[in-house]
Amino acid sequence: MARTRKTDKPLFVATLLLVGTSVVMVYSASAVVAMDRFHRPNLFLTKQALWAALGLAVLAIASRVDYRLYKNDRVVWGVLGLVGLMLAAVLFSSPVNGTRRWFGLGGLGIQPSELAKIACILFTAVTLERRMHRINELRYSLVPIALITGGLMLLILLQPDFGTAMSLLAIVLVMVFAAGLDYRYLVGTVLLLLPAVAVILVAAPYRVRRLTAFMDPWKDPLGSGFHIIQSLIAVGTGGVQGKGLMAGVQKLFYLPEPHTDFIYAVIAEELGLIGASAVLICFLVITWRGLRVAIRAEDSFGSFVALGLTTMIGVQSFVNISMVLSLLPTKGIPLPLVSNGGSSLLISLLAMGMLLNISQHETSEA
Amino acid sequence: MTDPALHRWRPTLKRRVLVTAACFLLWAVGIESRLVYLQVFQHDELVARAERQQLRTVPSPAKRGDILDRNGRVLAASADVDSLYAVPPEVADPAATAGALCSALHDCSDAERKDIEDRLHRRKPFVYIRRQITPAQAAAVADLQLEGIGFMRESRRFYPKRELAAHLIGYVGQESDGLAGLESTYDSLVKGRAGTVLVQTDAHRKAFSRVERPPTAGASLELTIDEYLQHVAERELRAGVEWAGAAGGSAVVMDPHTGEILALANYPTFNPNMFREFSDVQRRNRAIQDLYEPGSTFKIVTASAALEEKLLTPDTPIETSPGVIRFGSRVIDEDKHHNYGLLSFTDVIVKSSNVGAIKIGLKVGAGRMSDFVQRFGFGRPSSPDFKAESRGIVWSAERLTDSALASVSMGYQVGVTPLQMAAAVSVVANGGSLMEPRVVRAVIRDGHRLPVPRRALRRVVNPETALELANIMEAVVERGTGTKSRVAGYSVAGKTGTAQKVVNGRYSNTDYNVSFVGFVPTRQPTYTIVVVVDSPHGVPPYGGTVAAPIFSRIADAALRHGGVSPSVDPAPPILVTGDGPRLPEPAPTPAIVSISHPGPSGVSVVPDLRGLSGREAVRTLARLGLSVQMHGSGAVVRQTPEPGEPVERGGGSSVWLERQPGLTALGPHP
Repeated sequence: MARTRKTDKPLFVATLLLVGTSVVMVYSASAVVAMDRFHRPNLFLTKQALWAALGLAVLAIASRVDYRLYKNDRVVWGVLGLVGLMLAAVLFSSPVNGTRRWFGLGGLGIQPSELAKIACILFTAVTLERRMHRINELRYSLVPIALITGGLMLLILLQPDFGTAMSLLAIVLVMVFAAGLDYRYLVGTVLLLLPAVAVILVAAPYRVRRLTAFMDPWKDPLGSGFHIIQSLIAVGTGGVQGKGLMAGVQKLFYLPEPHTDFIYAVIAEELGLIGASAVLICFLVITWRGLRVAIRAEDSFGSFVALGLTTMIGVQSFVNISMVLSLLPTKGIPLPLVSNGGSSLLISLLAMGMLLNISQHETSEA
Repeated sequence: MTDPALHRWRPTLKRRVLVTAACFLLWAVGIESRLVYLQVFQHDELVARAERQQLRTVPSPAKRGDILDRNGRVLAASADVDSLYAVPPEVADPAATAGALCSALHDCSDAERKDIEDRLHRRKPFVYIRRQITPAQAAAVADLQLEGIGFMRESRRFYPKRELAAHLIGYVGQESDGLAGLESTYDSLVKGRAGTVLVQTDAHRKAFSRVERPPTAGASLELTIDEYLQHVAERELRAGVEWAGAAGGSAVVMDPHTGEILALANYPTFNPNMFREFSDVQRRNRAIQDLYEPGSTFKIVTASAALEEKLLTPDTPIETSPGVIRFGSRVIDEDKHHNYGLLSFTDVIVKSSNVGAIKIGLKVGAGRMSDFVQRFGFGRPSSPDFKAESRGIVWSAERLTDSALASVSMGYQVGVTPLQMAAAVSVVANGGSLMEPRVVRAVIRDGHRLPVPRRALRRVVNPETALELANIMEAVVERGTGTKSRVAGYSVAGKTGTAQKVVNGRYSNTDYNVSFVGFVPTRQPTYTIVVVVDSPHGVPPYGGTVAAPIFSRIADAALRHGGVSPSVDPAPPILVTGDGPRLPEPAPTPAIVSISHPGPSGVSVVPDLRGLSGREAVRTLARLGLSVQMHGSGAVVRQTPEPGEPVERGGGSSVWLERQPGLTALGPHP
């Protein structure tokens, strides 16, 4: 039944395109900042290129490792345990920009929270495969998932990294939803979560400011609205054609983090509507092919893992883009595969590798 | 356990994944719409917003055009100088920076150092430290390599001839705006179009690129002024005013045929390089701004009206006894209570009889008088070249009672400017046309010279009337009130004027405006000259005593400078046979070339000059109103314009001279 050794080409091509874009755009966006901060314009380019090479190697390996290996309880719990340890350990690291997210590893920092997403996806997929036939029995199927997810989220929120915690939640929610959870529970969960989100938001005033800034950035153009206004100016001035590669202006200290969270604004400014749409289409292709893989997967575990990984890339990219375009509040989520940042890229490419592997085990039943 | 699930999971999952896919698709559509909205529809607005924050516009002023005299000598020029500015947010230590700047500038006081420090403390993106510094100072400051300090090229105006024609040329302010004189009138032309330097800045306000829209240099003005004549006029006016202990004065020298003003002098004067240090009185262009009652010089207008309307002839006898005329309670008498008795029309003007002039005026009548006053150009600004020109005061015919008409007939109850007077006298000199007075001869833009055409405003009197008036005015100088205006070797036509000044609403018995107007030589007038002196004290306050000598000296220098052949007692021609009847005629020159006299509207042609000596050629050409450039020495071998071409008055000409063996110059006096 299963057609083997036939990897999903559009998925692979879209991924490669985005990684290529990443290396170029990270350089364009960061050269001046790197020069300003470290007097080395190529600093981020070198790092990103290195990470991209490493990431593609990881992708190549992951796409050749049979995903059914991850079904093994020892693997799942091993990974979860490792991630939990790292998340705990990272809390004792020295803070960077007021947060403790990075874990030094041979001079290259990695973020355990990125790996936590993969671990959580694997755990959720394993659990759902076994228990989805009783999905609507909350105690049986959902409580374990909620406990593990909640625990990981808590550790991540302590860093604090609200954005990653929320994307983790979104991934698990989509997976549980796909498992056939009654819509009533979904609505109920959302209603239950609202006060919790509110509490978290109120607890950290800067999140409230970011939220209101998104509603009306022009109200406080030099304060809370500044970043989002700069982002809109970058996107808007790009026009249809864009100003040309390297020719953007907004990356010159107007945009916060032009090479990470706001790299899409730089793309929109320099490559215009055409370039920005192309990047969006790449993500849409990844999402479409990923979901297709999920539908066609040989077994439900593969299906859930594919869904989880696709959602991870899809939700994060769409949220990031929406944030840049002021459709969502600024939340500090990087653009997967594109933003500067080693561990994010590495984990994203690992995810794509796993997804490609699942695609090799498609069934024609679907 | 997995087996039963295997059958159920796929449909559920497929359904739910499709729902998820639909959500993603909707989301993507939303994002794409937003992109289109921002990048297409909001594009312009956001670009404008970006420019507001990214661009700093620094104007780069255009180089102002030069102002040249009629021979191309520079009267006003602009040079690039550096101005020093600072970007205060980039200055880390204002106190130290101010100190360093001050020592580099060398000439700055403690107060200025403090002031600079204060300015560096301001949270503004741009402040001037000092405008227009010397190259040495600029170099010294540049050597400091101070953070946040920059230079800006600015254009600075220099008037190399200092006071020369200061009132006429005017001056410019620090922002290169013309504030007075021609600098103001022709500001938009001379100033050029300022360029801009768009400095693109990053969020730290550091400039990272500059786009320059280069300035367009201003046009240069070629004036009708002759630097030498201007200098002479100023020198003689000043000497005259100082000799007479007067408050001030004006002198205007005009080419009567073209309206070109060759010199326009005022005293007191000022140095436009530092105009701020002078008072308004010194900066006032009296010749065009000050109204005065012209007194007897205005009798020219009265007389021309009577002659033009053929009411009287130059020989008509007029009874001026008993030297007094009454209008109700008003009594007007002659100067020094003379009683001239019966005078000819000519002698009324020659002796400047008030009673006679009034009688002529009454004969002319209010309507015609008013008409002629206006036809001569009084009561309205005479030239577009002057922005600040006074229009003058002229009473309308309805308001001219006999008493008022009497006043106007002898030059009271009218307000005129020296410039208007010069234009009016030129009417007599050129055969009857009112020429628009002009100071700008050509505009030179991008190397192209665009001549400003002369404008004849109207015919005021017929040539016959003009000739009769010229004869009368000649008599004024020969045997009347204007004898001190005589110029050796030349016939002069003129008229004196002495008018009581109105001080505190009454005619003063101590303050007079004295003037002399006239032209030389009388038969081929080359120069109209008007001299007005304000309030002479300590000398006899008459036009004939104060203004006429100034006129004479200016005229003398002008005639020599212009190479005009003497018209009185010319060097006698050697071959004179008993050609009696022609002798008394004031023969201009016995040159061997025949020169057609350039009539008021007539066109004359350039004579063949070949074989003439250089001096003779120059004289001939100058008489035709052409400026001459000589090349070489000896006798003329070539000339432009070619013989037979029509004369363009005020134009240029060249002669090439060569010394040829065996061919000596064929002068008129072999």
